[in-house]
Amino acid sequence: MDTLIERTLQHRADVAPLHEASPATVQRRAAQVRGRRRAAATSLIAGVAVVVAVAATVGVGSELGRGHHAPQPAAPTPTQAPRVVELGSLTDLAQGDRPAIGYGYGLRLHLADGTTRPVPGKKAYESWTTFAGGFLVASSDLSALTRYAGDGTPEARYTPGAPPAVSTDGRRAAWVDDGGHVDIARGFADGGMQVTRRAVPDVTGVVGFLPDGGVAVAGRGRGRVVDGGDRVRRLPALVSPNATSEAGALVAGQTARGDYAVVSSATDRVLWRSRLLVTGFSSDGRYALGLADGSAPRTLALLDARTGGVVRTLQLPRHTRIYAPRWEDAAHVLAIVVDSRGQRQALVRFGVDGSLARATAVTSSEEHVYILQKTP
Amino acid sequence: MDRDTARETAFAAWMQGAQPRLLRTAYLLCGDPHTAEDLTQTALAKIYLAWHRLHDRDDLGGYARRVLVNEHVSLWRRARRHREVVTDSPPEQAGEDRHYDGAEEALWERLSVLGRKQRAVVVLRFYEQLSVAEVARVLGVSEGTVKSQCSRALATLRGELATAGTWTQEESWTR
Repeated sequence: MDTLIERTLQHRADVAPLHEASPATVQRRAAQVRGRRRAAATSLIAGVAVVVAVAATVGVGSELGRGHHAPQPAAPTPTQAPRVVELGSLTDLAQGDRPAIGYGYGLRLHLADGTTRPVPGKKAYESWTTFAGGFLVASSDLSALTRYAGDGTPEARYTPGAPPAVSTDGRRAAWVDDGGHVDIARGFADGGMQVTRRAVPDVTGVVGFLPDGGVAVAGRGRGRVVDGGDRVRRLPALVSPNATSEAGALVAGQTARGDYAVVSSATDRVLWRSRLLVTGFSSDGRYALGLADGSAPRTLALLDARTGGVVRTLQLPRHTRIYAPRWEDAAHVLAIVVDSRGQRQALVRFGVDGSLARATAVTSSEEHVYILQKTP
Repeated sequence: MDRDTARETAFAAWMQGAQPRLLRTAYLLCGDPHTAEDLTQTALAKIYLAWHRLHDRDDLGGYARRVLVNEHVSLWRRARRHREVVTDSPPEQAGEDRHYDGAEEALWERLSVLGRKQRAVVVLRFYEQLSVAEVARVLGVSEGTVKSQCSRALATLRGELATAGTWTQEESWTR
């Protein structure tokens, strides 16, 4: 087998119709890369401008020509003006409390109660959360989602393994099972659970919970809601939903235009649009978390969930990146910050009040990666 | 010779020697010649921008490989984020069945089922001939992760080839 792979790769590489670039071409590309980096540095300003301008002028449902009208957002007041907090260096940042949600580091989980334990299954993983006295763990290649008992014994395995959604109270979780159904489970402290299975055509993942037992799901290139009455309906504008607010009845996701929008699942209206990728909502539904788009964002924004107005922003220096931010509670966000120049990383806590602190010690980013517990 | 000219001369000399190999590695990572050329150009551009900071010129090949792989993963992430932006129109009609002219053809096709990290591990191990430790450094993961990803990739490829009927246990002993 090894010989076959070596031979195939060598042969394919040799016969590939590839054209070399000249130094001048590479220099022109370098100028483009430099320009993109500069543009990224100012993307937050552009994002804020778009949020304000679009919210004020474009509105919502009109983009589909269906006569929907967005609620008029409150005009930003001087006290709502964005305040930018800049991170200097990870090592200079004050050490604060340990994370109030769990996190994985290597093959060890650090639970919210301060205890640690091996990752159930002891294999690489992409996503994890606690549920019904046990764990839900999505494999590193998202090929399987496994449900483990509290002692690490596997109890069920689902493929493909899209990360599960968790309700705000942590008592319910939902995932896609082998048959393409949406399983909505209510867990009990003794490890038992009651599962409701719903048929949803072409579902690829459960995005999150909504009020009254509903869930938002992805798949088929559109955002859909499965409500408590088992009905499936389409959400306006969203082609790829990625976050929900149970408290606020909100769904965020990407639109067909390529920008991002937040939709009210109660009224089926688009509340606001943004160029910032909205990755989650605070547990009380008041704030949304936005990232400047790009593969390696350096700007994190806390937004008013109803209007998209920027409440606070965190700006990272060059050579640092923000990964997988999650709400820790109603007023704080935890994010993995990696300094690629020094090969260092730490979990950083950023508050709606502008507070900034490390939640873990600074570690080498060459060793292991942090994986924060999946939260609503 | 001023500083900028010296930099450009040194970079051009290095690039001339390094580019063919980078292009081939990029092609094996992504499987598409146009994407490979784009990927390589971007990686070279980033190295050009960082040239004045690269003091260890003896390990430029390793650094370039790392930039290339990271850029590939970034491209994949961007693609994944946008992959659900689809239309309601039906997909392109499939053409006639591809003619398999042997295990190589089948293996090349099956590489596409691997995840980007598993494919990167396979390319770095079996084309670049890197050790487990070197692959771990390039990908920024532990050696254990490299071993497990490689093992899974090989298992997947064996399973895919067996399903396709182009690989049997008997064959594996004769190769």
